[in-house]
Amino acid sequence: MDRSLLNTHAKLVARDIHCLTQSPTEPNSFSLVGGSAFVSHVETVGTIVSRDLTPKFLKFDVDDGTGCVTCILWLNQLSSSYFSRWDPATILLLTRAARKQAAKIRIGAVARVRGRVGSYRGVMQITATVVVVERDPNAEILHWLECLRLRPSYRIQS
Amino acid sequence: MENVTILTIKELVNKGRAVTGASSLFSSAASHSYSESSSKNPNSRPASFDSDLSCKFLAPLNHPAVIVGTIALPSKTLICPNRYCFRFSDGDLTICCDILRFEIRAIGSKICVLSWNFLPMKHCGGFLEIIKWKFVDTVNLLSRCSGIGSFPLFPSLFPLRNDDRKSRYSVHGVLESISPVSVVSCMDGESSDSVNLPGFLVHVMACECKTYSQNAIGCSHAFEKSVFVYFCGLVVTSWHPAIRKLVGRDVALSGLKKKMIYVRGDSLLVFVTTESSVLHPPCLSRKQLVAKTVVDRRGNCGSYLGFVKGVYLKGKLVEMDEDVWLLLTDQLLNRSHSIRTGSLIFIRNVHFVNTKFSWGEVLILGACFKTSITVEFFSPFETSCLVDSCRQTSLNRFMESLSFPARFWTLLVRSCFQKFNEIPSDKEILRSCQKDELTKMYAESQIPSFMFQPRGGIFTEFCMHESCGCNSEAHDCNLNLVMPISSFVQHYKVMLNELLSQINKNSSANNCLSHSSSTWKRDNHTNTKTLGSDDIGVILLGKLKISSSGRLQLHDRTSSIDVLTPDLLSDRNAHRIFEVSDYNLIMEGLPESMLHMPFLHNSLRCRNVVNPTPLAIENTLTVRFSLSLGTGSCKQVYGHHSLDWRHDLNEFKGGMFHLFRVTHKFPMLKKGHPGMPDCTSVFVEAIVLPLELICSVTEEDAAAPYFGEHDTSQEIRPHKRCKTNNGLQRERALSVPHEISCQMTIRCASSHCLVSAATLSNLKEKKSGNMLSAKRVLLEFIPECSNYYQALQIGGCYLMKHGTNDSFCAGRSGISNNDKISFRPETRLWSVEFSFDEDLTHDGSVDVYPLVSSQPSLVEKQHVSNPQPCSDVSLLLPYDAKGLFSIFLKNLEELNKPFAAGKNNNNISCCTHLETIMQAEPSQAPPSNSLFPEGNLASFRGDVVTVDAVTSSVIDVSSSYCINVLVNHHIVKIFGPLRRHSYLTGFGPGASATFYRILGTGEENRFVLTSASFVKINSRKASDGRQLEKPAHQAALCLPKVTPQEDVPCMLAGPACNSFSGNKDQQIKSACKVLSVYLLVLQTRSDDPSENECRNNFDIPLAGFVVDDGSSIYLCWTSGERAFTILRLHEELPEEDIDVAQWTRRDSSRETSAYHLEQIVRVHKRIVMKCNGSQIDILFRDITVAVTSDQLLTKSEDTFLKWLILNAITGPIWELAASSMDRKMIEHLEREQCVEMETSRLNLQNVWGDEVCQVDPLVRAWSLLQGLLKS
Repeated sequence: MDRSLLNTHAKLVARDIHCLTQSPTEPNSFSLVGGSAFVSHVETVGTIVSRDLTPKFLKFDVDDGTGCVTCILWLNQLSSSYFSRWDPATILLLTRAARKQAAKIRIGAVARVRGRVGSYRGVMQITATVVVVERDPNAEILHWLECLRLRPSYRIQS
Repeated sequence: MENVTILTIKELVNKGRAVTGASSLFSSAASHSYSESSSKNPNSRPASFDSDLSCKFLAPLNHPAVIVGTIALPSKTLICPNRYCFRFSDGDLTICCDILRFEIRAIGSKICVLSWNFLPMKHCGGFLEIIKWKFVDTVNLLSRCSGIGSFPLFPSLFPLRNDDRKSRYSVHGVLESISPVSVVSCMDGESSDSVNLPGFLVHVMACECKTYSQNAIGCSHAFEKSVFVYFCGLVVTSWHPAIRKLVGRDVALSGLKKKMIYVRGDSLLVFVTTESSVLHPPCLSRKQLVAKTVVDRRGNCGSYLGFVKGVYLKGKLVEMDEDVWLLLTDQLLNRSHSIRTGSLIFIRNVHFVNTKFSWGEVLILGACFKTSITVEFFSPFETSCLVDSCRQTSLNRFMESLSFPARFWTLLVRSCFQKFNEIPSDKEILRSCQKDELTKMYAESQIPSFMFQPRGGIFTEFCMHESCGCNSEAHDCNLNLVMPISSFVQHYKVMLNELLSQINKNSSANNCLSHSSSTWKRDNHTNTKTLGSDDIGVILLGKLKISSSGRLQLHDRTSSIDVLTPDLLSDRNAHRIFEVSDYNLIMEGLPESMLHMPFLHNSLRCRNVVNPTPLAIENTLTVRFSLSLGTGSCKQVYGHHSLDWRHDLNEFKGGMFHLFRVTHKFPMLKKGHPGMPDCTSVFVEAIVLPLELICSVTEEDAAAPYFGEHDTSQEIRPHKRCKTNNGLQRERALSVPHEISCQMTIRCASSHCLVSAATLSNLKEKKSGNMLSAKRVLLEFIPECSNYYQALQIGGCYLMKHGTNDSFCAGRSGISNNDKISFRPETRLWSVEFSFDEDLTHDGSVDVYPLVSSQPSLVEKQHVSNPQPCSDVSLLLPYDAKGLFSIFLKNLEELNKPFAAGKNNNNISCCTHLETIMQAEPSQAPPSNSLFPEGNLASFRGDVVTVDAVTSSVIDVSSSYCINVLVNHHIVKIFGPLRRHSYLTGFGPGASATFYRILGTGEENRFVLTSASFVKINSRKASDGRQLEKPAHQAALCLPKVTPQEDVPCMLAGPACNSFSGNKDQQIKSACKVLSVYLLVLQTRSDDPSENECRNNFDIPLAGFVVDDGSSIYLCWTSGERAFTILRLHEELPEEDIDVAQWTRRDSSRETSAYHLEQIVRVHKRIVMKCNGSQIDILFRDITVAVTSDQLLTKSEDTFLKWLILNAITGPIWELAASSMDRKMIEHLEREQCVEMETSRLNLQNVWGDEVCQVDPLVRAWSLLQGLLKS
């Protein structure tokens, strides 16, 4: 098992993300199609096609032309027990950062999403850590080309 | 009126407060006066007074009050410096006064002053300004008015002698002008003694009718005949203030006699007052008001009405409107107390001189003897009264002989000299060279002869005004403005601010602001603009001093400015005032957008010269100003020649001097720099020559100095015979003869020379009289002596007087090699240069006269030493001594120079023991495992092309700057921590600099500045910043620069790490994002408070970022501008991100994160933040922040620092050029920054980020596509 990519945000297109298979031994690791490399974090770029805001999170779909990936951006830092021992000022800072990102996520915008990949009810989804709305329309094309360029590194078999 | 208090003068004087009062509180006379001024000058802006002058209004009394008293003509009972003031007396006390709506009949009458201003004065208790008044005794008044209407000029106690036939003439007409009171010396008929008789002239345009009758006034007279009346005698002269009030009105005088006077050979009929003369003023009802036209000009003379905006230099200079200045320089002129800031004055018969100076156009109102000034409305402000000093100084006399523009210029100079308040602490200069004297001497040297004008005396100038040349001023003036330093800097600050606001306006209109991170540069000291003194047209005067931070500064009382000078006289008299006329003004740290904008040509305001109060401008720019002086441009303003001269000669008389040459100066490093010890001393390496100079200046030389105008004018005096050693020729070629006679030219600061004979002797070194006896020593300069350190130049030779207490002799029997010698503050040094004369050779014969034979003007001087155009002493040596001295005076600027002009110049051919001493460093270091950098030392001179903020590590020295230097048409790169060197004023593109002892890296044309390297700035070229457009610079400054042609290596992923480890020197490029900020070191950039004011003053010496390029994660270390870019510090601080209440925007231009971070760093000096998590969700779980200050980090500061990390993580994709880092480099960085980098903890590959810029998606996509298609 090649773990060299585990902490890297693998640049993948939606189709490849959906083809990830969960590692039988490590639930947070996913192997790429036909390869021996495992990833846990991914980066994708696409157009936001749906947006569903709940008090705890924002769910949105990113379509990059090869498929659509569901992304979750958590907004529950203030109430989550995960942060209960954190410094309140830091929690507030993280909350503000998340909400600021959430405000920018609008349908039609091109966004670069980085986050942890996971499987929810059998479908791959990204728990976003950073969402950057791209202003340059070439960003999407660049992402495709980067994905193509990096495929050999990920040992993805076409 | 029932409740009105009657105040006494005594009450007012005793209170000693400036007050205004009125009989009724609801009709304030003062303010009423202002609103009344219907026909005022359209150019004058009274409304702007408050903002411009910030004057305080006179405090009003809180109850209605009047003053009752009598107006009287001036008399000797009240001594007023202004001499001819009205008096006001309430029976108890008498004070000076001035009165509006004056009537002759008020004199001697009891009046009730209804509204008034009172101003306390030192001289005579106070000054009363009578605004509204009325007669108390109206019954008597009626009888006076109806009955007489005429006022005898002599009081009635003198018997009237109407029968005198001579005094039968009368004059009646319009009073045109009045002269000041002057004194005529004449013979007293009775005692035949000479008496001084005061008197004044009036000019009346009279009617030619023979007889005068009371009823004729105002009738159909033709006032066409020009008549002069002389008011003669002490009693009559006291009418001067009253007659002055009547200028412009019609008057009649009777009882006059005729006199024929001779003015410049022409006869002129003048009426003279007699004891029976009577003044018939205009009747009250028929009073003619003066037409208050602003500019009423006839020829060059005219009238001007305007508000006084400022009174300067004891009333000699009065500021009227913008660039309108009234000159009251003639000592005789009567200056009224009521000419105060804020008063409305009407100036009659004043010269209008529109002068074009090099700095701008000024309207000068030149007052002559015909000028009269009346105050139309008193100033409502509490401004001081004008008190004439009555002192006739030589400067006053000098000024009176000048044309008006030259007078104006001299007054400006005088106000600049005023800025040297503390001049005379030095015993020699103080007595004679007072400010006035200095001003006079300086002005005399500057003002061309055609600007002087002969004066003809009061009679000539008054009576023959048009023909005496009084109005023939030169209107163009090439004199340069002399400015106080603060006003000078302020002017350019204001100009830059205006330019910036203009740029901001334009850019917001065009919406063309690009990404802020790509346009802003931390190292914007490279953004330099230079203005030459020819374009500026300003002369600066100041004293030179070394600031606490080791900078040479020109300073006056107002401010100081950094100075870069190629030559500095070793003249340590800190009280000497220098004139700087040939210079370049360097403005460092301009925003890039400003570089390509033409500078605004704001004319310099004279107001700033006489009143250098800094305007409250919004200081949005942090620009540093410095002056680069041309060679020999720093001239001393004349001091007292003979005193200076004698002092210098006494020093030389029969003295013995050590001779040493500075071979290296160890730089003054910034204090408090991390990793550097706080070193208070500075060191100079010197070679002590085995020769001593014995000077033969005698008493006779000292007694008869020659003051030459120029340095070339030397005086040849008969010299004593100087013996040369008989066995000279038997010595070996490189050995030192025991004595060498030479000619010594001593040049003093006051630019004159004395030539004398001298002998170079090595008597002390008899036993070992060869080259080996030259000793290398280390001179230590304690901070008190840092100005000596500054004045010493590498390569320069110096004389030090030999004595028991000199630095070389005190406490030691002799000097040994490598001695450390403390320089003693009392030691005096003179710079010395050597020249060799081909006509002078030692032929070995006895009793030769080696030097008298040749005239210095014919001598072909050949400078062997470093050219020092301003050396104090010049030694002319025989030609055969050249070989000997060429070893001592070897060029220090050509050591291991790259691209040497000649073939064999790379290695210095003459390799002696001395050279080994001087070099003292291994020329070829054997490979070793030393921690310190190794390589050959080099010294060379070159022109700085760019200074790039490229961080790279060159042979273990992490460098934040790369200096591209043009040496012999080739570019040489010099890396190094430039910011440590605290002396680099004016360094930057355009500077010609000499780099001493810089370390060769082994790579071709790459050198490294070490902490022992010294950079000398020789000169600066005026540059307009065009060199910044060069691509090398652009790349360095992180501007997007990837060209579509550039191939991006495709195989970066994963194996990128391997490529680093495999190939050490390979630089890779990748597009990556920031995952976390691993380590961040923030610190203040300098401890110099002067820098703090004007620079973005913090630095990031080290930052570690966890970056991810999609295939691997690595730890990217970087510093400086690259760290600023990755942290997005130049971007606007988003309001919604954090609670910015505590980071409130005080100023819209200070809204960047960098600005707020600077506030935190300024408090804590140095902040080290470590963040252990590499992913955002665990990012802040283990974060440590350490500060060096005693203060704790506040919550808000802590939050802000964390927000910085978040902000970096959500940044764009960066294109990063990085090179690998090995263990050695990491250790070096740790040592340098005093931090533990803990690189092993994350188990990531370490790289050093050389360049970073934001990815241009299109450019990169093209490159990727081409790469993919190829593969």
